[in-house]
Amino acid sequence: MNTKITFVELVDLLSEATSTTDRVCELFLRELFSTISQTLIKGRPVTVKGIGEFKVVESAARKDADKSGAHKRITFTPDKALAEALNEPFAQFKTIILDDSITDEQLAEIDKRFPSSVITTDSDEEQPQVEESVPAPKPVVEQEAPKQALQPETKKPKPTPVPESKPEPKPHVAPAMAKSVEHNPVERKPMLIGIPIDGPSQPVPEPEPVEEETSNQRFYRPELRNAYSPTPEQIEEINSKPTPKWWIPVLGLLVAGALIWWFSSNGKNGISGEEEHVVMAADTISDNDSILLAENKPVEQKSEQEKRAEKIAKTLSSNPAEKPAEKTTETPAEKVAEKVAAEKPAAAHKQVTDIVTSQIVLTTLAEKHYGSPWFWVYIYEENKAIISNPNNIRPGTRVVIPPPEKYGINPNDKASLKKAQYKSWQYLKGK
Amino acid sequence: MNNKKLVETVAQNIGRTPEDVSKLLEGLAGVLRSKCSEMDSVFVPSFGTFEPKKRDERVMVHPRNGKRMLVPPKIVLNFKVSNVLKNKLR
Repeated sequence: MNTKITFVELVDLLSEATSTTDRVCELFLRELFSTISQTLIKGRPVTVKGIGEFKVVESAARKDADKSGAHKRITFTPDKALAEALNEPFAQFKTIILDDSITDEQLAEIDKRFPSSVITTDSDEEQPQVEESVPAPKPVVEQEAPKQALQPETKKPKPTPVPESKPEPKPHVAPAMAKSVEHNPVERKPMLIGIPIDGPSQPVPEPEPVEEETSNQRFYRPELRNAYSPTPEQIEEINSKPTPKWWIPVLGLLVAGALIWWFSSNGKNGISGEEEHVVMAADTISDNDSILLAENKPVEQKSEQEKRAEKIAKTLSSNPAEKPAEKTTETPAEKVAEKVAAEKPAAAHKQVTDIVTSQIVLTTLAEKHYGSPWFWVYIYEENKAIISNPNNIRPGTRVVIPPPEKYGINPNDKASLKKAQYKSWQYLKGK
Repeated sequence: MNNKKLVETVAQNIGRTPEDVSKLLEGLAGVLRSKCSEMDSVFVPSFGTFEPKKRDERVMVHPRNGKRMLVPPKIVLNFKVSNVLKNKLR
């Protein structure tokens, strides 16, 4: 390191390298350099293979210093191979053209946008997709709001009449049943649906509208009753079709009306006092109906069966217990569906991209992402569709950085590095 | 004077075949390369010194299009002419 090799040492080294005697080497070296010198003194250039080119250049006299007038001097241009061998430690660096049009403000803005690095997990491309997936559940929730605003009208009058019309014996049964339902609300439901319900309740005859009106008029809004014309099966049919958004509240009202009517007709069979509660149940359940458009069918069936079960078991106070149960079982499902919809595109598009600028080229990107500039070849291969010439990429081009596993990129593995080097040489030769 | 002519001249002067001389010249180039890669300088009396030097990175202006460029650091082989040869040149 930084030692000066004298002529004697040079002779020794040369005789070692060429396995000739010191005498021949010394003679050769002296003769060689004296020949070169003499040629240069004559003013002619000399090219020595493997070392470089010596040239004589005329220098004009300097104005300020009369010491050195016009004179000749020797310039030396090292051989290309020799120069490259010497510069090997710095071979990875490339000349960068500076963009003078960039101001400090722009740089500050870039820093803000990409706080630590320019790596982006495709935030631009992801966002629209997420937004697309969200709207599906959203409208339903929004349309729920007006519905809930409507419902208080129908609901509110109900609680008051209960004590008046209700006979004494029932409340005794109710609390006990409520308790049992609370213990395992979710399990309880299927049991109610399955066994006792269908038998007794199904024989219930289809309605006689006149009587229903007389007994339950105060609880119903006229529009609701008028709205009821289709049978439950028809409603299901409508629901199963892809319905436009404005249908949702209307459908909810229809279902509510249908259920109210159904119960009023059933209530005629002797359970007149409980009807208010049943109607409440119908309302709350129809709420859920509208939330889950997609699951409309099963929910509706369930709600009908539940109501029958309630009626038969006379567990009016089980309503509050059942409501939370439904919420817990159904909202998570909804949430999960939403989550999956939002996460799916994100996972599919977890590509790393980066932007090529006038200062950031493929090699710099490779250095940044893979740890060695040689791996630029793989970025180029990944983006061959966009990049026609890897030495001439339009600034601002967004390139995909392939995951290192795809090409077996490993900066610590010499074989992988060599492979990349070989490839890059081939590409550069081809150009 | 090109390489071929130089080899022939030297071979004639030392009484050896041009093949031998070109082999020796190759050997000399190899020694220069290996020594200068280690940042050692090679001194040849009454001719000059071959010394590798590290150039720092710098900003330069492209002479044609006037664009400013950041030139990376590099190691170059410098040849310093000896005073003897310099004086003979005058």
